[in-house]
Amino acid sequence: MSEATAPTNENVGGSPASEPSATGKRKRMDYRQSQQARRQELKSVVFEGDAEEKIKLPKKKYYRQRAHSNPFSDHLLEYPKSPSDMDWSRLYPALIPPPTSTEAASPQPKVEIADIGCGFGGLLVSLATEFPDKLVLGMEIRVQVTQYVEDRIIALRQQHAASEEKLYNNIAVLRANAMKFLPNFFEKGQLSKMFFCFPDPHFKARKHKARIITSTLASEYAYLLRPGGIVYTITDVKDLHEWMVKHLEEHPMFKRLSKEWEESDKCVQIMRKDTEEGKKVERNQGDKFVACYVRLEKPEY
Amino acid sequence: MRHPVQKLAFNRTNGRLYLAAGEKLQEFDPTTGVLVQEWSTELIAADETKDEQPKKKKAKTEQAKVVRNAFRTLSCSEDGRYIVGSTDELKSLVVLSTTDLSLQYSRKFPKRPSALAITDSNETLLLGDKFGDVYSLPIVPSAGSKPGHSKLSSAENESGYDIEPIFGHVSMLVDLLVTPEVEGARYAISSDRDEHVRVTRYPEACVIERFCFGHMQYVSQLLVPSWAPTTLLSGGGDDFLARWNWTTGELVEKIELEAYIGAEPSEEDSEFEVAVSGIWEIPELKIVLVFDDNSKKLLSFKIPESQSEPARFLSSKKYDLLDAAVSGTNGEAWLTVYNSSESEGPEIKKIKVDESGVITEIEEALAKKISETASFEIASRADVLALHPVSLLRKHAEH
Ligand SMILES: C[S@@+](CC[C@H](N)C(=O)[O-])C[C@H]1O[C@@H](n2cnc3c(N)ncnc32)[C@H](O)[C@@H]1O
Repeated sequence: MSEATAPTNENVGGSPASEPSATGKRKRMDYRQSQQARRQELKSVVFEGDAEEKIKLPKKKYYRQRAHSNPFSDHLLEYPKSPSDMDWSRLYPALIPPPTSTEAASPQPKVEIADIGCGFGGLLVSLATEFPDKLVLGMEIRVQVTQYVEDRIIALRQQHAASEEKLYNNIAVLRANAMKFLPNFFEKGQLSKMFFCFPDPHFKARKHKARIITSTLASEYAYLLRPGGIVYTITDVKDLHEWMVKHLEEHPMFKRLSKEWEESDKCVQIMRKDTEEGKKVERNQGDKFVACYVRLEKPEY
Repeated sequence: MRHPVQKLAFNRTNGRLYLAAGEKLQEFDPTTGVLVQEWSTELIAADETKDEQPKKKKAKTEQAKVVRNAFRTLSCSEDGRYIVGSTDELKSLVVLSTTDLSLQYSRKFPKRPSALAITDSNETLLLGDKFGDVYSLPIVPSAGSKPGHSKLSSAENESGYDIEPIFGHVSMLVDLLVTPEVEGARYAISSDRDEHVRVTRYPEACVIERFCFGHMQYVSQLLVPSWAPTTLLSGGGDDFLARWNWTTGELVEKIELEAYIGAEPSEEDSEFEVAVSGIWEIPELKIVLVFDDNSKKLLSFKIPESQSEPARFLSSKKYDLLDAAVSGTNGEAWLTVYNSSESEGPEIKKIKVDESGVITEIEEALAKKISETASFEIASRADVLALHPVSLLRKHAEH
């Protein structure tokens, strides 16, 4: 990985200065190791609601990782050979039976909502209760950030295991390079919503190709979305907003949704309020630029 | 010494054979073995260096490397009017007229062109680059723009291009073709250094139609046989050749190669790896030739028109093949092979493939004459290009 780190973009909680680095690092490692063991054990467990010990949500400061990851590099990422090779029961164990079971033969629910570059998962957690009957997937390229979200979801599932609604079984997170491998996970037209919340801005002109919305990637998003499906974008970086608008606007498969539509859509409100980045921008009283696009049935020039 | 011939093209309209040796392009009359005319990329390189800012960092490598701007791809338009190539270091596309090998135009790209296709009745070039983007260009710029070497205009965008890609992968583009019309529509099929084979509508390239899933390694070669227009053959780093129905995305057949390539007994401990670096069709026989650059085996297969019939392996022959060009009659083809003898010069062969797929060398005297005439002088062995770039596509994870 050759990407320079952007120290101003410290989007991980905790204050690095307050901790002596050597012991801090040890602590983080120890913490992560114990969480790793726990994760392995709990990942695909259906919670029956008998969790007696108090379940703690994971602490963000132990999952610190550099802010950027190079989407062009050959990460050692696992991804299915094709969407039909994907075993979703590992991610949604309460809702999807394992492929070996007899129930697996009947049609199973499919992921319909994707949060691309989900970061610490704030949006996912809100979408879980907003769309309790839909499967929502967060995709994130950074390992430790992904693990944090995994631990967060496991903890939430456990906390709510006793309740009647059994919330949070419909959300999951996956480590993936969304710029390269989305078609390996989703079939054509499988998605109804794709979120791009506060994507990495890649300020330098030379790096613009690394932005997650480009005209060529927009074609891929159009392929994944069903007609009528929606691309949501939000950012606090004006230049990035204009870039995303330009590339989606010019794309024959997308049409911008109106301000009125934005005001009336509950997901727009969620993405403004509930993403970690959204909250940070709120605290700093920064701007938030929203643009949403509907996927057309046929290209319109 | 003379540089080997790294690329070949055959012009079915005028019957001429084109050889790219290092930076030089030479046209031969293959019936007599006579060199007709030649051209060199030096002509654009000189143009380029004249007004180039001296770059300190680069100077050192350039000194050591004499063959700066060799041909990396070479094709002939179907109508026989143009020879199109792309070059190494200058990352340029060159279009030459076949009448007099005059430069129609050349164009420098910020990223090295890595795949090329000619379409729209020989009017359009599609060019894929190292970053996975595909650009569409007229084969000859419209009247009014003057021929010659054009650098990027001042209108270039942030990425260094003055044109927008028509589609793209986020991985090095390795091969590219445009299909014949099927039910009134045409498609571009493209493959990359990951394992994606993608079918995109063409020219409406904003619509991705489907992916052909099944490869696990880079896909370096694509072919839609002219006798089976809904079939796609693809190969690369996987140990099989994939036979698809690209109109549905169905993997019709995995043609396992191990049995035909056979790991050498002496290399038992080495891992079995394949690097398909060429697939060529011989339409009159409904046969394809497939070259594996690891075992150095040239294989022939019968590919039936009907997808319900399996492909049939026919024969194999060992060559250190650099490129091949099928001449379009009687199962004849030209090969350029690596000459491991002391001289290491160009070595051209002519072969004939018969109905049962057996490969025999023919007209040896003629081929020898061409080999001896083909010439791009280099100072020493160290100047020879890296001639086997395909296996370098295999990924080694960074992290
Ligand atoms: C600035 S953060 C925003 C996180 C979250 N959406 C939010 O609003 O709080 C951008 C995230 O995208 C992730 N990312 C960048 N490129 C990615 C890619 N190609 N695939 C998946 N995730 C990516 C980064 O690791 C980072 O966590």
